[in-house]
Amino acid sequence: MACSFIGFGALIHDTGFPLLAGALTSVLIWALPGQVLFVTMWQSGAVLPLIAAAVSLTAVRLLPMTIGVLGKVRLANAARWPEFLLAYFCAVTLWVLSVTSLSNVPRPQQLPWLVGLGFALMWSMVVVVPVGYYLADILPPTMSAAMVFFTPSFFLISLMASAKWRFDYAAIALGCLLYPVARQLAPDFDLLLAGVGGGTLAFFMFRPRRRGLLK
Amino acid sequence: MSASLWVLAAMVPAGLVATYFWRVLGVVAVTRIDPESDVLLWVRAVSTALVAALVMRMVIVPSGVLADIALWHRLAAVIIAIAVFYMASRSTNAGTFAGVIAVALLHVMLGQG
Repeated sequence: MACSFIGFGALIHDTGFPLLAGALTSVLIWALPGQVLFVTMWQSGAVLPLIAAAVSLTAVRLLPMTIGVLGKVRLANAARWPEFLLAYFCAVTLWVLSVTSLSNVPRPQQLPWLVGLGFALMWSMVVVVPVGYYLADILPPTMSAAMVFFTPSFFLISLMASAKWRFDYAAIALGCLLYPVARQLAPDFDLLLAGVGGGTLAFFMFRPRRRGLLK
Repeated sequence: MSASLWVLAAMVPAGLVATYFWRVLGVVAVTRIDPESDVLLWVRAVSTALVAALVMRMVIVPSGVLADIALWHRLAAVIIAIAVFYMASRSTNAGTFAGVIAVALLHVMLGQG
């Protein structure tokens, strides 16, 4: 996880995005694809509603993750507001930790335990991003370039790793293949066009029949 | 500094609200909505394709130091990352780092070719 945020720091350095705002994307967005998307679209001068739409679409995967985490730790008759607090920290790392390391924590303490963990992770990353930023500054160009390359490499491999249905694989392939076309057709809407077009096409080409894969 | 503040102000609607929305829906959904309904699976497909397109954008039209590495080296590194991911029995770490190392090695060994 720290590696991916160091890579993100290098990316911010590379695009010329302000460091303070870049580090605080971890607090305001807290999901790396959304953070990268915000930074790249902002730097290419996209208008705010388009950025918001695209960032929001990358965050859809937080919905099943939140359900997964809450489903494990919530108590049936407890107050609901702590669930909204925990949801704020829900992202892939917390989801993995909720699967792997909750067994040592007594059930009633699991939710506050995850909130504390999420808080600690979030603010650690606020510190780690500037480390990547300054490393990119002092390392030789080839090494900085490799650090920046960490982000696309990590995202693509994570998509492959979390793919469950055939339409997931089709969406990855179509998103990749349609991107150059979308860039030619509409440089300002390239990501949204490739994402919405490729995703919709993938979904209807490989309409999912099997359910129950998310649990 | 003022540039930072301006970006941060923009990030509240386009970042915080845009992402927290789905988490809140998750809290509500945990008792109500089916996360595998057609609409949400379609949105999942769009989300996946959007991140894939974002990957392509970072690889094909990078902004700074990465642009000094030849395009075909960057594309080859992506393919190597995927190949290693499968060879290492779907290890995310192996795949990711293979891509990073490949892009640096291709550049150092083959230059601007």
